[in-house]
Amino acid sequence: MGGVTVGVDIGTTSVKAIAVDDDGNVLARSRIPHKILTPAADRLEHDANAAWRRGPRRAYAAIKAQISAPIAGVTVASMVPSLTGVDRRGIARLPGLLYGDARGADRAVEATPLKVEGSSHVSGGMPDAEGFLRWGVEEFPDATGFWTCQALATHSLSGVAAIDTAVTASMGELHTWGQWNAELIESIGARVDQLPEVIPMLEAVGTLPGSDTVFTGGSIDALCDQVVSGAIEPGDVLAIFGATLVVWIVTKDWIEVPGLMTVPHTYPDRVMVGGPSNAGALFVDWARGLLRSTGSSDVRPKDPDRVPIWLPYLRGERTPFNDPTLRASLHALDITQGSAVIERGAYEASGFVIRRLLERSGLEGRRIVASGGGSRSSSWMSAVADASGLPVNTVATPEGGALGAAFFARMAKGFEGSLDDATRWARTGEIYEPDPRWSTAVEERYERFKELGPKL
Amino acid sequence: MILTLDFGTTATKVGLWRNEGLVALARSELRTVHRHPGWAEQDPSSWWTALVIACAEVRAKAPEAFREVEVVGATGARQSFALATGSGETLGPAVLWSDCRAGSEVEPVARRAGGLTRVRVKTGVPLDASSVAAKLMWLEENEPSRISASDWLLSPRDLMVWRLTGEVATDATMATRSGLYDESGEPVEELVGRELELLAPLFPSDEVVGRLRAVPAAELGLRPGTPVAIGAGDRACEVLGSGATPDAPMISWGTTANISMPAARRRDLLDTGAVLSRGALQGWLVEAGVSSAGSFMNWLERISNSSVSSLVEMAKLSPPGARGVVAVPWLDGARSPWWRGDARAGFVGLSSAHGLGDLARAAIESIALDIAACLEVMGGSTDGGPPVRTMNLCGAGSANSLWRDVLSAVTQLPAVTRASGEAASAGAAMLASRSVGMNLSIDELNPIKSETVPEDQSIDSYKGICERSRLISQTLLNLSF
Repeated sequence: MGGVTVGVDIGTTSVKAIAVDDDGNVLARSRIPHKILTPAADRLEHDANAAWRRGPRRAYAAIKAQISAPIAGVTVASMVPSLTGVDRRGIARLPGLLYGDARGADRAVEATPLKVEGSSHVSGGMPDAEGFLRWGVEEFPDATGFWTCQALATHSLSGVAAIDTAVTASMGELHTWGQWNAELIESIGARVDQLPEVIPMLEAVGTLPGSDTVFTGGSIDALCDQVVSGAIEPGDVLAIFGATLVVWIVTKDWIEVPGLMTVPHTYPDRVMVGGPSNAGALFVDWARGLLRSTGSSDVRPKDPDRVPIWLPYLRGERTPFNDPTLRASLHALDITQGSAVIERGAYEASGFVIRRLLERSGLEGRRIVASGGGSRSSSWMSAVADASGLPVNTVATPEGGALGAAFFARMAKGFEGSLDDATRWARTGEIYEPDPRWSTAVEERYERFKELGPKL
Repeated sequence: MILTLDFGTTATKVGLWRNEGLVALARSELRTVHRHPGWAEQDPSSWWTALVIACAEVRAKAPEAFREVEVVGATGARQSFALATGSGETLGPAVLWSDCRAGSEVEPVARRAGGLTRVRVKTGVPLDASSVAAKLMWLEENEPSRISASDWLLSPRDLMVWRLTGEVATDATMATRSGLYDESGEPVEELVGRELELLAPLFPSDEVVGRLRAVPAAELGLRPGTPVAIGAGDRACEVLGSGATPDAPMISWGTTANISMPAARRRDLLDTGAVLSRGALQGWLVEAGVSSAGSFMNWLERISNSSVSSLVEMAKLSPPGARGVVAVPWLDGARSPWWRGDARAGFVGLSSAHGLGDLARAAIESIALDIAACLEVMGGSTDGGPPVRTMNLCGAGSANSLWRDVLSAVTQLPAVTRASGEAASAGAAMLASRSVGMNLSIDELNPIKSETVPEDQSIDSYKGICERSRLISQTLLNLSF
């Protein structure tokens, strides 16, 4: 069965939308940038109305303007966790809090890692969501709703604030055993009716007003990215180079690794171990900004030995340390260095983060499947290949979150019978092999990277 | 009226001084050639060319005063040398102090002279790849014909004074800082080797060694017969020109930072890494090189594609402690007081809320912290020398109010600057004035312009910052390998 579907992905720095055909060919794309606000080191927020409401609506409108075919379905995906408080019209009256904002962490009660085999619960879940809700209740007690960014976006398109069960699985104790945890929510001072409607993953909520376009509950970007990445073999390492770096190591058996999260893969008989790290584009772009770099330098600098070492924890680190107080640092600086090698060092740092997650998991990596905007940077990807010692295969469509969301919409519309079929959309873009001339120098730096961090 | 000639490494500077201070100054840049990694050479003939150009500029700036020059005083870089024949012809390029080609000669020279520590104790100067003794051995082995054709081994200043006056001369400050002389001022034969006879005779720094000959006088536009005082090495002159005393060291901000002070006796500062040589008027000169200063800012300028002046302006907007960013300034290894060649520079405590201004402020603070650590060990606690009571700032950084404020708050000491930052030239002028009986004091030649007194509030705010920075420095030193 055929038809055009649209995926919308609210990222940290922009909303991206694509329209695709049955085979995952991109027919139209749009990108609406928004500001990320970091008034202090321990804060990370969006203007929720700009980034979560208007951005998705504009991105979707831009897609509609580019194609004549009817749109069969749409899914919004985004990062987790997030939260804002809205009034009765669905207009945000609070800033949009994002992952890692300390206003969540401060108020979070130490979350108990919870894992139920076969359920969609996440082992080693993130405590921020509950803290965010406590913050929202304090800041805006009269809110009509406390919504995640997916809910605000879906509401802006359809009039219904809906999220799917993947998003609720990331909300810790707030949503347990298939429903909102009324006892906990009320103890915080909120009501269940203030939270978004929860729809089973991949199911349609209804149609957009005045059209036959079905829409789903908003979902998780990394999950959407994963289903179309083609990272399904044990040892595949899915690395999503967005503002956040998300790393998932594919394996067969459920394992528990301290500091890492274990989640079910959408592909049968596979689980994924890993989690989000702050060594993504937020860090790399900050370093580039400092160096006033456009990121267009040569793939590799000349001298493998002259690269400094970055600890990339500008905003603390999530997996595996879960410590928001960590800070970034830069080491081994000498008089001969220019900006190109310092930028290279920043790229290597994200590769070292992946390598350390692999080491910690005890699993063996065979290749890195790279998606996200950062995967388009050849200097970044070659540094990741060198730093991890693994070949890096980039995906042909870097908007992996939006692409996977478009597949979710096909499932909801009934065009597809199984999520496993999404792997047929997986296409390799570029392949970056580790450069043997760099291996000795990189090896030494990795040892120093481990020795220096994380607490410096 | 006094004319000073400063034969530096990056430029030759000519200054015109009278008893109320500097009248005019001009500089002419010099080119350094790096034929191989680690080598640093100059064409000795470029020193004369630069002198003629700078003199012409000073004459153009102040023609009447220039006509009244009564005495010429000289100063210049130490440890740099040219080889010359008896007729004054130079043989090959001059080898600069920063040239470190002679790394593999250090060990055999040390062995010949009884070991590194003995050399250090005997001469007051460490033996390393940049030492004159090691370079002499390198020349003996690699360019023996050049050495055997030479009659003189002269510093840039001494070669130029010879050309001006026809007299071969040097002074004790220049000679002893070469590392070839012992504490009594005699050359150490095991270090100099066969080149003993190439060394110039020693004269007091405030003595006229000759008079301007007709031809060079005409080239420079000066009166023939004008007396020429030999002067002292650049650091010894800076110490004089900045008004430094045993309890008020000079802190200079150049490519690297440097702490220097006169000492009445030969102090035992071996453990601190301080270098000892003869002072210009009497006693000794104690100096300690701190890792980087201007070079750190220039590096930051280069990597961020901005300018030092805008970095300094941005740094002023960052509060004391750079909002938690701590730097260590060891771009070329950690020098005084750490002496860890393998350590490197770094920044810690970075968050996404930080920007270039915070890094620039942290860089400036890190240099001040290294100076404070040096002053602690040099200021008498180690060997009973006098405690430091004030600092005399010179060099390019002394014009930067942020540097003055940070340094005085971190060290908890007042910081004095003088009318001219050209302390070496001021010192040379003072020595020249003595050589002809004018006997001008440094307060006349280079009066005090400002004194930065640390406020209690900034001292307090820096106490915790210093403590944290020291802890981080120590941690990073322990991690270096």
